[in-house]
Amino acid sequence: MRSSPAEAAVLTQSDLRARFDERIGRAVRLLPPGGGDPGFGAVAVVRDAAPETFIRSAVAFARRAAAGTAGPLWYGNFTRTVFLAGDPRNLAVRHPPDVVAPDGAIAWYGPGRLAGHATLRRMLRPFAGTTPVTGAGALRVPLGGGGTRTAYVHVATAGLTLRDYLVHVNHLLAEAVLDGLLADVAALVVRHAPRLPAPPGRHDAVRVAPDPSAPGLLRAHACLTVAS
Amino acid sequence: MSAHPPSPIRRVALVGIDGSGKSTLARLLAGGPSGEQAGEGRAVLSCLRAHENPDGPLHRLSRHLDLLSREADRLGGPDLKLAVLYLQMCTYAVTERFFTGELGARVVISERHPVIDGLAYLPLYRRAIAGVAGPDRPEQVRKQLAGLDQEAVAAALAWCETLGRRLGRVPDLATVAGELVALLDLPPGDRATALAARLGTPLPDIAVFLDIDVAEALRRVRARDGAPELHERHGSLARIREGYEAALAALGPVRVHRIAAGGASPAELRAELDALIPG
Repeated sequence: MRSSPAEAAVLTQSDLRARFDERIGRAVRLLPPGGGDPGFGAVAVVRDAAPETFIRSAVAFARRAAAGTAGPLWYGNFTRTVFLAGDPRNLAVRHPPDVVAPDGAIAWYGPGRLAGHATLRRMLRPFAGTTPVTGAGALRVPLGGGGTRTAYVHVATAGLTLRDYLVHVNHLLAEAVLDGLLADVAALVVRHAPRLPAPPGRHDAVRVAPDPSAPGLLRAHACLTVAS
Repeated sequence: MSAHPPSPIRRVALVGIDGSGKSTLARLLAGGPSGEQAGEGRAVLSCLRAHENPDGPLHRLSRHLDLLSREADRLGGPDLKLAVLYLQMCTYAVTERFFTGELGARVVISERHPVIDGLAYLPLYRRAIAGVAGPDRPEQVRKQLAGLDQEAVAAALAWCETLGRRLGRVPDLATVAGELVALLDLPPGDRATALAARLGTPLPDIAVFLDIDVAEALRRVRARDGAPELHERHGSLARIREGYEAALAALGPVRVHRIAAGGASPAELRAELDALIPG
């Protein structure tokens, strides 16, 4: 789906390209000398992808990565995360996760060498999630961690499948954590709507990615603004 | 129990002299006007011009480097040209990492390849650079840079700083060409590895060499570009073809597949490649 004229007036392709290239530049600069390992990433095993659970555990996982040494290399690999469909309860013994969602519906592994999770990836299918994201509305997601501020996340749901929702929101949140944007944030207010609000320049982070339905064009899928 | 074993990334490079049909074939593989779309998980990438990869990164940098490359041609500076070419080739590692890591491509087909083309072209550049070499040459190159589009030069210098993190040393645009041609002093079997390390990109699994007679390639180039300098271009193409032969012979574990590109139609070439390329 191409950007509507109204949306294009707010988020021009030039704006999106600038955001996109800034992000790539940050990622490349974070790679260690030698270029790092291109097979580096995270794995998430998903039983149920309710947005609140997903968002809360995605931030917890990214905060854990940021506190360790793996964060820059994960960022340098564009916070690559492989989403698999499975039940974390069946994996807890043989594949103990690094982070589990509060309701146990999502297990997170890594970030690290994806080859280290080859067994998981052989056992489980990629998370398909082809259903559209609808009706998520607005959510308040407490993050813990002792912060005092609130950040606002908007997700554009028009044409978005559940799988793409996980991918885009995870990239946005993981990179916001690794950029330090959520260091003092205690809660996210997440709004789901067909389009992102204007103006884009006020957002602290925007998730920009190639538009799968319009080769050569970029699209803003989500944005994040930290309250001042 | 096994559902979907994770598939490894397969890298295929289309190489050959100008006029051999690389671009036409790449367009067909990517889904040109009359071609089918590229398969799921397959990316067809330009090696030198990141801005020609519609969904890829580094477009602005690539456009700046493209401008500097044309300016180097205009100035007749082979060392500046090679320095810019090096920066262009270094964008490929980022592009490939993005397509495989973020967009999930499992088969990457590149039109040209930084290591193979680098090795193929370095002998030509060594001869040309020897013709302008001298103790004051780095200063001359710096003066050339000072006269070029400063926004483009700033982008190139910023890219050098970024590359410096990986390399441990920031490339100097005035001297990097000399360092690159010095790779030819290494034993042939070591050159590909050394250049791959400088470029930060792995070797392909398969190198597809579109082999074509130089005269036929030149006829195609003239029909396309109206190239006026017949003898010069013929000599250059012949030397580059020799460079490819030497480069392909020194690639070690890379599988080299030759295709006689002179008489085959683009559709026939595509069919041969589709049978060769996984996915």
